[in-house]
Amino acid sequence: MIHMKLTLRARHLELSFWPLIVVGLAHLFYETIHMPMGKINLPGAGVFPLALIIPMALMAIYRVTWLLTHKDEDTESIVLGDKNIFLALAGLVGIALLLDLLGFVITMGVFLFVTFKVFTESSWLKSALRAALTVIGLYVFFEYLIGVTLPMGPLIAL
Amino acid sequence: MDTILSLANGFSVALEPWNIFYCVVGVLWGTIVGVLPGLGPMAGLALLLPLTFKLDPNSAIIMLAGIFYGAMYGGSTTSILVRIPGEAASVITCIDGHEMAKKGRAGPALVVSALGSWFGGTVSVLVLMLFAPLLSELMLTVGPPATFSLMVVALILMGLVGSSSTLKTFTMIVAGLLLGTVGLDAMSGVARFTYGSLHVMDGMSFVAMALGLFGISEILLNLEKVADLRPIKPTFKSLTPTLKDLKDSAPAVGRGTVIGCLFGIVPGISHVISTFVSYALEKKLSKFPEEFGKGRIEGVAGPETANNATTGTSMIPLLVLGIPSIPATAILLSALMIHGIEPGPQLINDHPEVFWGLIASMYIGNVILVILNLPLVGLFVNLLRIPYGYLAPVVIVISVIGVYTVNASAYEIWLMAIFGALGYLLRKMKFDVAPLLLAVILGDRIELAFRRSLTISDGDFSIFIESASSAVFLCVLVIIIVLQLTAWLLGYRKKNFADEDPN
Repeated sequence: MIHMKLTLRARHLELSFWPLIVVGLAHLFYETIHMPMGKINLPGAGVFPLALIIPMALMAIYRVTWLLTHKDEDTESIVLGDKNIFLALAGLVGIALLLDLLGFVITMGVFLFVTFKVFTESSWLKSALRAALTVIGLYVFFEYLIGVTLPMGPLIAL
Repeated sequence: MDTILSLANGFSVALEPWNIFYCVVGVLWGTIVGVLPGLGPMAGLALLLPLTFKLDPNSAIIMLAGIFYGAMYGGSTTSILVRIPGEAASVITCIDGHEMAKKGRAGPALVVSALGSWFGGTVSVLVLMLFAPLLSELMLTVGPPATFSLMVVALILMGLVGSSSTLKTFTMIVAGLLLGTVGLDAMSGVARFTYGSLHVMDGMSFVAMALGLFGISEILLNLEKVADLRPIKPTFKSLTPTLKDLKDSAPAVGRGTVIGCLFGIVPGISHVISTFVSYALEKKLSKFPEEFGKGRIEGVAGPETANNATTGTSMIPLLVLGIPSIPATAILLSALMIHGIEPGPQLINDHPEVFWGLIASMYIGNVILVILNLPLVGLFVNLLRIPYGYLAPVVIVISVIGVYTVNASAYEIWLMAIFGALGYLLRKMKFDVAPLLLAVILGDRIELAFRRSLTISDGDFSIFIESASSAVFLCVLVIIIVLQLTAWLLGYRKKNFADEDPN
């Protein structure tokens, strides 16, 4: 496997995360106040989300304040960004884009081939053979034994 | 008498050939996901959930429940043979289980763990069978205010016993409740946070969220720390425990059963906590506490029994109250709802075949686990030899098939990928993602109960105190909060005094 990692301070990662949450909540707050609030005896659609957004925003602001005032407790590092992880996520995005277009066998065959090759560092031929066998096995199992309808893409003509 | 008749009907459902088949498939798949490090019961359930859509409800629930308790069982195999917990509830088994394996006593550890799991699981189902109908009758009399208060108690308890910091756990709970509001409002039909997308009108896809948060994020985390596993392989002959092993384990199994049955009802990560409590108790009661950590069989028997003993009783809040007490039961709840079965006090009356069929299948499944898994231990050990580089992509492909089959739409794959990346980041920042999923599933019901209560009382909030059952739940909530605050203050004082101590 290829390993190329990105190391971050836990505090820095959280300091990027919580403000994003606050911004997101501010947007949701704006959306919510435009929802019907109803009356006290018949609460509208906006009441419950509003009742959730406010405490969550308070928790987020508290956490940001705590992180800013407790710099000395920043002892931990977080390792992010292994290349394999990006490949797996990029693969998922590729699958989402191409599955309907190219069908199950081609899309998953390519995904398995690339990931087998990169994750296990085996030869091109071995990876291709294993990917082909796996994708056919999975297709037969799910399509014929389980009865799931999988997209065929251009192979539908076969 | 009613119980015996109902159970007999349950067995007639569970013993149908297809249901036995699905039970075997469930426990085997559960054992496999339990054995494989990085694939716990949540991921195992989420992966197969979409494939149960075409099954009849009985078979679907029987199979999914089989995965749930099968995974609890399977986790011990990896803990004992490799010292890597197959799932969270088997962490403590690593300590004495692997020490026993290193001394050539993997067989007795596996057998005692299997027998303890069977005993704990079976007694737990017995408790479920006896108490669920009684509690169900009681709950039929409570209205929306009590339902609301009960769910608030469950969420607060979940927040207090979560595995991450309290603030982070509560953030996850509130975020989950907020995610649960996405889609059409059940009471007024107003679209909330849908941004005009038809995909989210029915709410966020629970399957995509569950698979993303537990399946994909787990794979991403494991891709970082892949190591070659070198399991200790026991021979079939070495499996027989001695009479002394059985004698030493029996009291631990009994105590583990009681602990597991009690903890199963508590919302949160009770299946994990029960194993730690059991281990601590065994060490405290042992005549040889210094030998714990060096391969004491009670250190395996107690915790392994306790984690399986939570499986039956954790179904009580799920089936009777509609509240998933541990994360894996949230998937079971979702499965019931997908099949048009509303969990709650009405379930036993409205769908007796599902309730009693499930109970009967759990008795059968626990026996199947012991019969199948001990002879197959060699096969499971070989599974551990599959390089993760091959396993991870295959699990991703199965996850994609799982979410794609929900609506035959790539939208679910996008959602799964987004929640997968989010789950990975959250877990890196030490957030426990399980409460988020539990809150999503409770979100719309808690909101409905709240709004209905206010409609009934004409906007008077005192309904939550005036309703006797609601008041009881709120008293429990106050007691829990006071206890928690006391513990926090005592801990704070202790820490401060320790800081001031010049020595």
